[in-house]
Amino acid sequence: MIQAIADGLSTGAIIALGAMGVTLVMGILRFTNFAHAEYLTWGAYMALAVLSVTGLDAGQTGPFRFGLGLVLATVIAVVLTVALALAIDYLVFRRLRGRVNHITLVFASFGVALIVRYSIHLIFGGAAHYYSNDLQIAWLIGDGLRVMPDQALVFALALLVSVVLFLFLKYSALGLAMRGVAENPALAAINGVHFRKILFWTWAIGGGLAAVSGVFYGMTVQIRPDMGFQLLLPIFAAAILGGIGNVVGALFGGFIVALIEAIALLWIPAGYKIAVPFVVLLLVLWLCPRGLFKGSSGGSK
Amino acid sequence: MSALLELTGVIGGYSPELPILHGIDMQVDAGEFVTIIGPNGAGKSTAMKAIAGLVRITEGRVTLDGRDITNHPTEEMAEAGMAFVPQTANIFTTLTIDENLKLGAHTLPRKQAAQRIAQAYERFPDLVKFRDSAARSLSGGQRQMLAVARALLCAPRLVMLDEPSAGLAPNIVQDVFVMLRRLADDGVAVLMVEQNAKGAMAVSDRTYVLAEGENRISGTSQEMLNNPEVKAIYLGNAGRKSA
Ligand SMILES: Nc1ncnc2c1ncn2[C@@H]1O[C@H](COP(=O)(O)OP(=O)(O)O)[C@@H](O)[C@H]1O
Ligand SMILES: [Mg+2]
Repeated sequence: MIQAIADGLSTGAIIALGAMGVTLVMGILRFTNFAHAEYLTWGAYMALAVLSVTGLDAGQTGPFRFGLGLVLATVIAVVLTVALALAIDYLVFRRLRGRVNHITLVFASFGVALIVRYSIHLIFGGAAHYYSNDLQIAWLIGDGLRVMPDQALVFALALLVSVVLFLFLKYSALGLAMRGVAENPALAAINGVHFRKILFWTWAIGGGLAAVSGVFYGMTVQIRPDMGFQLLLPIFAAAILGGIGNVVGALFGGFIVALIEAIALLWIPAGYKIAVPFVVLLLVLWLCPRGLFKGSSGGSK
Repeated sequence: MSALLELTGVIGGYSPELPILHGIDMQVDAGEFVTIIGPNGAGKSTAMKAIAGLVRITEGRVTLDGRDITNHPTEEMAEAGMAFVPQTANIFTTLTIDENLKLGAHTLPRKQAAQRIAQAYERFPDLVKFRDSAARSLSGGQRQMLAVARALLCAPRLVMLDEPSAGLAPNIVQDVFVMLRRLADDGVAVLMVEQNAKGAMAVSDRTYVLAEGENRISGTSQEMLNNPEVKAIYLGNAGRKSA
C-alpha cells in the first residue's frame, strides 16, 4: 500500500505537469487540445535527440540520473516543444479559431495528435529508448519501501515547477492578463491586453510543461512513441477533476488520479490500468462536472 | 474642426448577412456628454461594440480625432484614449478588485499605474475595503463603480458606457450621472446608452434616439426632453423601459 502511494506520487507529478498545461490552454484558449499528450512524447524524444546528436551522456547528479547532459537536453526539448506547439497553432488552430465550433477544433486536435505521434514513430522508430542505461539502485526506506531516486527527484521538481507557475499566474502582470483573458477575452481586449501575446505565452507555458513532463516520464519509464498517448486519459481526468482552468486543481488532480490508479492496481489486473482514469473521469463528470476544486468555465486560478 | 468621435453611415452586425446597424451617423465632441436612447433591440449596444471593434463594420467609418478607427483592434483602443464599460460582464468576477484595477491600468508604466489606482480608490472609497476580495462578491452598485473606475484608469478622452444605471438603486443612479457630468465638465467626452431616458437627458448635452438600427431623432437633450415624440415613447408613464 505504501509502496503504491510512493509510486503514485511520482507518476502523479508527471500527470500533474501535463494536466496543468492542458488546463491552462483549455481555460485561456477555450478548447480541448487532444494533441497535448503528444507534446509530452515530442518533448521526451527531443531530449533524446539532443543527447544522441551531441553525444552527451544523460549524466549523473548524486544518486540521480539527471546530470548536466540531460538538463541541457531538457532545456532544448522545452524550446523545441514550445516551437512545435506554436507551429501547430499557427498552421492549424489559428485558422479555425473563432470560425468553427468547438467540436471541429477538438477533431482538428485529434488529427494533429495522430500526425505528431506517427511522425515521431517515423523518425525515431517504434523501439523503446532510454536516456541512461545505467542501472539505478532503489533507496530502501524503512520496512521494504523501495523508491527510485529518480522518482523522488521527479516528484520534487514537479512540485517546484508547480509552485513557480502558481506564483507567476498569481503575482506577475502577464499572469494577471492571462487570468483576465481566461475569464473574459473581450473585456481583456478592452483593457488593452493583446491576445497574441497571451496566446504565445499560453503555448509557451503549456508546451514547456509538456516537455518537462515528457522528459520526467522518460526518466522513469521507456521512451516510446505512444508514451504520451498512455497519459492522455489520466491527464484529462486530472484537469477535469481539478476544474478547468485551475492549475492548482490540476496539480492535485494529477496526484489523485495517479494514487487511485496505483492503489487500484493492488486489486485489479494490470491490463485494466488504463480503465482506472476513465472511471475516475466518468465519476467526476457525473458527480461534480465542474471538478473538485471548482474550475470556472474559463478562468485559471 | 471635426468631432472627437464621428460615425458616418455605419453598417454592421454580428454576421455579414444580417446587419444590425443600417447606417448610423453620430458625433461626440471633446468634453461633450452624449446620450443614446431607444427601444430594446434598437442596436444601441451593437453600435457601441462596433465603435470598440467588437462588432464588424461592413460599410461606413468611425473616426477618432479625424483618424480612421473603423474595425480597429479592440486591444488598441485603450492606448488610443477610448474606454468602454459594456452592458454586461464588465468586470472580472474571478479577479480581486485590486487585480481588476491593475488589469485596467496594465497598458501604463508601473509607477503611473500605481498612482492612477490610488486615485481610483480616492474617487471610489467604497471599493477600498474590498481590495482583496473577488469582484463577484460585490453588490450591483459596487460592480458598476468598479467597472467605471477601471475604465477611467487609462485617462481616456472618450468613455463609452452601456446602461451604467441598470440594476442600481435610484439614488445611486443619480450619483453615477452626476459623476459622469463632472467627468465631461473636466473635458472627457462621455457617450452613454441609457434606459433611464429622463435622468440621462437631464444631465447630458445631446441625445440620439436609435430604433431598428437607424438614427431616429437627435438634438440637444433639452430639446429632446420637450420633443413630443420622445415624450410619448420614452417619457410616458413607463418612464423607464425595462431591460
Ligand atoms: N451577440 C449577438 N449575436 C447576434 N445577434 C445579437 C447579439 N447581440 C445582440 N444581437 C441582436 O442585435 C440586435 C440589437 O441588439 P442590441 O444592440 O443589444 O440592442 P439594444 O442594446 O439597443 O437593446 C437585436 O436584434 C439582438 O437580437
Ligand atoms: Mg443594450
